[in-house]
Amino acid sequence: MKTHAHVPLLLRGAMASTLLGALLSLVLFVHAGPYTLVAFMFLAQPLLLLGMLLFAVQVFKDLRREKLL
Amino acid sequence: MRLLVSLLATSAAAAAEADVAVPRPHGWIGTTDDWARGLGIAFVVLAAVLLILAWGRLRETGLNARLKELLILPLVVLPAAIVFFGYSHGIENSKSVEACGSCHVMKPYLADLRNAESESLAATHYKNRYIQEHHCYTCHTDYGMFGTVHAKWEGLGHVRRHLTGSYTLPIKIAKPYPNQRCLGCHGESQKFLKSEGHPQEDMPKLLSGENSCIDCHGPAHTPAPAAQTASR
Repeated sequence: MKTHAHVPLLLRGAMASTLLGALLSLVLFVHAGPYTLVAFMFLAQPLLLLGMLLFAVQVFKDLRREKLL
Repeated sequence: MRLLVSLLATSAAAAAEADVAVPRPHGWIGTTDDWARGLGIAFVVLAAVLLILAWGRLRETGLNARLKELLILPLVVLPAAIVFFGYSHGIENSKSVEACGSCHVMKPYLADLRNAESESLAATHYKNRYIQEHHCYTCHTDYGMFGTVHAKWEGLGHVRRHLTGSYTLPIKIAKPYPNQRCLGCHGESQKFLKSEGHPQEDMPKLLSGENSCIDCHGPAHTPAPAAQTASR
């Protein structure tokens, strides 16, 4: 049985959030309109920012663990 | 490269076709908005592909320094670019006549605007192309640094009211139409300045808004009454 390596929860969250945000943004690029722009502003953009934030927290935690900070 | 140019040309033609019979010239390279759209799509696809590949790699090897460095691209750099191009494309397109007409309540106004037989002020400006593009937006946005910001903020309110149905029919303009919006284009034209209808003694009243341009040059819109009240 193949075992999978552990992927930190923060990183999983960051990747899922970014992927979802990117796909929601795609809707705006494919069809720009008032509703898709509002969805981009209030859903996609926060998800992309959340992804960045979670990734930054993960990097920060790793640096602290390795005593580089 | 040829595929990208073809994609950009197709989207430009589609956008133009929806608004006018003869598309405005875009040149072979397309417009800034075409590029914002094309690059936005490319970055979204790239981010998705990189995330999926990184996920597979993470499950095999776990998180290591090399992978962490690589993840900066799909998790930081590309999302920043997507947000930039998203706003660029979204804001530009929100100025279009199609964007204003995408709510049912605006359709009678759009029909009047595009009606070549209509004598309304909006239709006259549209059919003669007194305004080149963004016809609704140009007349319904204040000038100055915060004019666009204010218009966008109000636009968000329009979307909210349309989604929640919190408006009454027939719709009316929220505030009296300011003369400054007319004067932004006409104010310095000789046709306006030398017109017998605009004597010098009346200029202060026109500039202050005491006399409304619409009072003499209106109506601004002549939507079909039945369609106007039955559009919700």
